[in-house]
Formats: sequence, structure tokens, C-alpha cells
Amino acid sequence: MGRRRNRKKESAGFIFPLPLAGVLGLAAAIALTYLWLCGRCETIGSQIKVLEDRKTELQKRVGSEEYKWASMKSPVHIERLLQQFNIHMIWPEKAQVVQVQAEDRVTPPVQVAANVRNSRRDNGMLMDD
Amino acid sequence: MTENRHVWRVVLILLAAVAVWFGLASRLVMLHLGRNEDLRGRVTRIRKVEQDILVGRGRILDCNGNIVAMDLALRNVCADPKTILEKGHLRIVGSHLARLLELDPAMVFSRLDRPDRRFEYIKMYVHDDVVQRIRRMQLSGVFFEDTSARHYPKGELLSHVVGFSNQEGVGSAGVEQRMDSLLRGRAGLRISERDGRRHEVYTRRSLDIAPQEGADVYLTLDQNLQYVVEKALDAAIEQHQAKGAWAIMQRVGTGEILAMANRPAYDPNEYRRTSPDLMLNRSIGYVYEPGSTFKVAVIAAALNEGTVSPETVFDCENGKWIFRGRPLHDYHPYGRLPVADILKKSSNIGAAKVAMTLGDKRLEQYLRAFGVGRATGIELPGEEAGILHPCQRWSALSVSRIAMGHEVCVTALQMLNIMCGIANNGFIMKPSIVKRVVDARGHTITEFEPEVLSRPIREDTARLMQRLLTRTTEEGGTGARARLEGYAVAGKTGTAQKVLPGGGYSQTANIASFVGFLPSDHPEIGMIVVVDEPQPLRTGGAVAAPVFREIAAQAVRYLNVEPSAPSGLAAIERGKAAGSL
Repeated sequence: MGRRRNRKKESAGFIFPLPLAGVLGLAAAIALTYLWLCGRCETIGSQIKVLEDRKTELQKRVGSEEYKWASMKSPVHIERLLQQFNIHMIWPEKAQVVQVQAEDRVTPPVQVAANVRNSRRDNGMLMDD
Repeated sequence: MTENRHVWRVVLILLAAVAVWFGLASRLVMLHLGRNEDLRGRVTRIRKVEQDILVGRGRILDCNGNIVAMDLALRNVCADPKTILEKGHLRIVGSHLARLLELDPAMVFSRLDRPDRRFEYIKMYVHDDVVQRIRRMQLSGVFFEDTSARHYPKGELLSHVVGFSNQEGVGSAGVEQRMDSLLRGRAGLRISERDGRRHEVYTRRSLDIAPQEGADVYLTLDQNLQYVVEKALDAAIEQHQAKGAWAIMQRVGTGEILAMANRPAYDPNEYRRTSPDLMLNRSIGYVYEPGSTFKVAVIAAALNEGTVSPETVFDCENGKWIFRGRPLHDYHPYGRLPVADILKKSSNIGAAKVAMTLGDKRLEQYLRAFGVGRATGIELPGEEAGILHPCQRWSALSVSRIAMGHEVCVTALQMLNIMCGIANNGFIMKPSIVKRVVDARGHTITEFEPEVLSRPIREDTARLMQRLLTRTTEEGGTGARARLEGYAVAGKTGTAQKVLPGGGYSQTANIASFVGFLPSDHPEIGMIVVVDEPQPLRTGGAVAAPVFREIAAQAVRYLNVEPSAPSGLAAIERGKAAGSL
């Protein structure tokens, strides 16, 4: 007569090995991370593509605007506009041109003001200094 | 019994499932590890994208950064006639497209009324503004194709210098041709894969070589000065009913070209409908006998050699001199003239006698040193070298004819370079039209550096010539009409008869020119104006000198050129009063 099997004890005795569970859990986590990274890369890739297209489109628009601006700045166009608005422009006569010498240009405004004050004082025009 | 049946069913189902999964797994393994070259190739071909990334040409800009040539993104307007006809929109679509694209409605309807066609071009190279207007109308069966084309926003302005590039994007004239390799850039390459919707998958890019955009070329020319010159030439052509006219303005000290204009001109945007004759840059591609302007080189050479001085007197034979059996005439008869007045009054006989003091060999050496018979090397295609035969091939008369600018041919640029050499204390500079070349990242690839080509005369000779040439624009000089208030102008007029095709000279057709520089006491700009076959006035002094003055008057203000020093002008006035240098 053999011993009777204790089924209750048997079923309660099966325990999933913890290391295996850990390995499987880790693998699942890595797999999920991989999938998430893949998805993220795809999304970023799509965004880069959209931005690339947008950049190309903007470059075209910049070119188009540059073209318009260059056309508007052309002397022929400016003269046509001046005629359209009845504006007659001529170069100044020689007598109307003031040639500023280099030494005049470097005189700072403060120095000019001081010179004026000094000359007024010398002439007795500035009393309350 | 029942329990056993259940067990068998489960076993069978499991076996079937295992068999199915095994089959699938085997197929998978075979597909992945087996030698399925055809299949792999087919999949790769479907998914692979190999794309050349094309780039436009670089821009051409003037010295202030104003764009004169650029690539412009445009669109071709296309239609799907079958769709339009199926929806019954022929009338609406046709009339809108004809109106917006400014096309003949009959032509548009004929293109759309083709039920068997799925693709028709309606108009090519349409600007974005028009495309947006068409888009807003949401016309069914109308779509757009991206394209680009070379555009020249200034139209005729600078056309001969800038040139044009053809439909394949190859520079075919002017700077476009000469700088083609730098302007063109390099296409990129992208190898990638696409998804089921035929969109490129960014993460599958295996190769991405970025394109190298064409470099920008900055010219030494100034669009405003160019406009002043072109406008003056237009007025001159109208006033003198001339066949053509051309002018060049150069910075004396560096050789930079500030303006180069030719008339007649053409619009490079319409180069396909332009005759080649209009495209000729006459400033560098048309050789002519320079006439009296050439006396400048001959007299400078004689002064430099010391064979004559400004006070040396020559008999000008009262306007007619028989030299070796052939007559030589002056425009006005003169008796005895010093060399200074030979230049001022432009005596042919006097110039011939001055040249004879040099002899053939020395004269040729000087002329070659001045750059006659040699291209200047400007960065433009089609430059002519001019004609100066070796002295061994000269006839007995040649020395007397070359002295007055016959038997020798130059381009306007060569003639200007001689004059600028005198203005530049004897240094002949290499004329340049390209200021710098900048790549797409903003790095300068090449930059203009002044280059001395030769120095045919000494500084003292050059300074003496500057004073002598200033007398030409005084009262009694042939170039008096080039005089400018506040500025001492030095220059020389030229009136050369044109050579007839069968030989001999025309009595009615001639080339009038004026070449000079200013201010003569501190030369900054040199300029030449050439008018082809003016009528009824024909001399350089009457036709070209006023054009020179008109351009110079605006140029000195625009460039802020300091007027001649009062002492310099006073000296000139004193010299005038005393009738001497």
C-alpha cells in the first residue's frame, strides 16, 4: 500500500521561479522600452520630415520675397514710382554740397558745446556761469 | 471514456496549432535565411528611395548687395482634363485659369477639352502669388508642379555683364558663364526607404549627403552708377541717332569696374527671344580703331623716352602733310605747335611726327607695355585682345598712322586702361569685375586684390601727362564739353572713321569717343564713352564728351569724390590765362 497523494499540498507547492520571473520581467521591460523608443524615433523622424519640408517651403518664400524686394529697389522701378507720384529729384548743385572734413567729423558734440560756451563767455554773452 | 475523448481533442488541436505555427515559422526562417534574391530585390526596389537633392545657382549681387541674378522657386500649373470634364467644370476652370494666368481662353479650353488626357501643362514658370490665387479658388482637377528658374530682377540693367544661364542651369554669357563652376554648386544625394503610403521614412535614411549650394558672386559694379551710365547712353543714342553706345567707369587706383554699359541692350529674362548681336558686350568684345584717343599712349611714350618735351615744337604743316607719298590731314589746320598743344588740339600731323622720334621698335614696345594687343584678363568671357601687328610687319606709313589711332585696334576697356594707367602714376591695373565670392555658409572663397599688369611710364611722366590732358578740357581744347564745375577733368577726344568692309575708310560712319579721368589733381575715377555712328554731329568732343560730363557730374556726387583743390583749379586757371602749362 503506497502513501496517499496530498493534492492540496502539491498544488500549493508550485511556485514560479523568482529569477525566471525577474528575467522575463526585465525582458518584457526592455522590449517595451525598445518599442517605445522605436515609436519615439518614428515620431521624431516624422517631425523632422515636416520641418524639412517647412524649411524648404520657407526658403522658397524667402527667395520669392528677395526677388520682389530686389525688383522694388531697382533704380528703374524707383524712378517710375517717382514719376507716378510727380516727384522730381535732382542732384544738388556744387554750392549746395557741404564737404565735411575728417578733422571736423571727429570733434565730439560735448567739445563743440564747450567751444560755443567759451566763445560766448569771451564775447560777454554768458554771465551766469 | 468521455475524459479520454476530451484529452484527444485537446491533443489534436494542440498538434494542429503546433503544425501551423511550425509551418509559419519554417516559412519565416526560409524567407529570412534562405537565398531569396529575387524577392529581396523586389522588396528593396519598392521601398528604396535614391534621390538627387538639387540646389539652385548662387546669386549675383552688386557691390552693395543688391541682387541682380537669382534662382526663383516657381510652379508649373497643370490640369487633369478627364476629371474636369467628368465633373462638368470645363467652362468655370477654363475661364478662371485664362484670366488668372493671362492666357488666351481659346488656348486654355483647347488644352482642357481632351477627355482622354490625365495631364496637361497650362502654363509653366508661374510666380507664387498667382499660384496662391488659383489655390484659393479650389478648382478641381488643377494642380501644381514645383520648378525653379533663373531670374534677373533688374531686367536690362547690367545685362551684358551679368549674362544669363540657360534652361539646364548652365551659365551661357557674362559673369554667369565665367563664374559658372562657383555659381552652380553641387547636388546632394539621399538614399532612404519609404512606407506603404510612399512617404519617406526618416529613420531609414542610410545615406544623406547634403547639397553644396552655389556661391554668391559680388560684383564691383554699383547698380545706381550703372543706371546713371545706361540712362546717359540712352539719351545719347536718341539725341545723336547713333547705332550703339558703350561706356565703362573704373576706379583708377584699383582697377575695379564701377559701371559697364552697352546699348543696344537686352533683357536676360527673355534671352531666348534675343538676337545674338544684342548680347555682344561691346565694351570688351568690339574692337575699333581708337582714333585720336590713342595719341595719349604715343605722346606719353615719347615723353617717357625723352625724345620730346611738352615745349618741343613741331610743324603741323597747316593741316596737310605729304608723308612718303601719302597725304595726312588734320581736322583743323595748324602751323607750329608744341607737344602740349598737339595733344590739346589733337593734331594728327603733330602726333605722327612725335611718334617718328621714337622709331617703330620703341613705339611697339611701349604700346605693348600699355596693354595694346593683349586681353586685360577681366573676369568676363569674350574679351578681345585687340590688334597690334609686330613692327616687322609695319609698312613705311604705319608709324604715322598708328600715332593717330589707325592701323591698330583696341577695345574700349583697353583704351580706358591706358588712360587709368596714366592717372595711376604709370601703373596699369588689371580691371576686375568680381569683388568677392562667398559660399553658402558665408565664408569668402575669393576676394578681389588689386593687381598691377605693367608700368610703361615713370611717375614724373604720368604726372606730366595728367597736366597735359587736363588742358584738353579747357577752352580751346577738343574736350572742353567734358569740363565739370569744381573738378579738374583730364581726357582726350577721339573721332575715328570706320573701316569699310571692302577696305578704306567711311566718310560718313565713325566712332566718337572720350576717355578721361577726374579729378585730375587726385584721380579717382576713369571713364570712357564710345558712340557708334552718331549723326549729324560726329566728333568725340561734340558727342561723347557731354555724355562723359553728364555721367561724371552724378558719379562724383554719388561717390562723394572730393572736388579739385582750390590751388589745383587756380593753377589750371592761371595756366589758361598764360596759355601755358
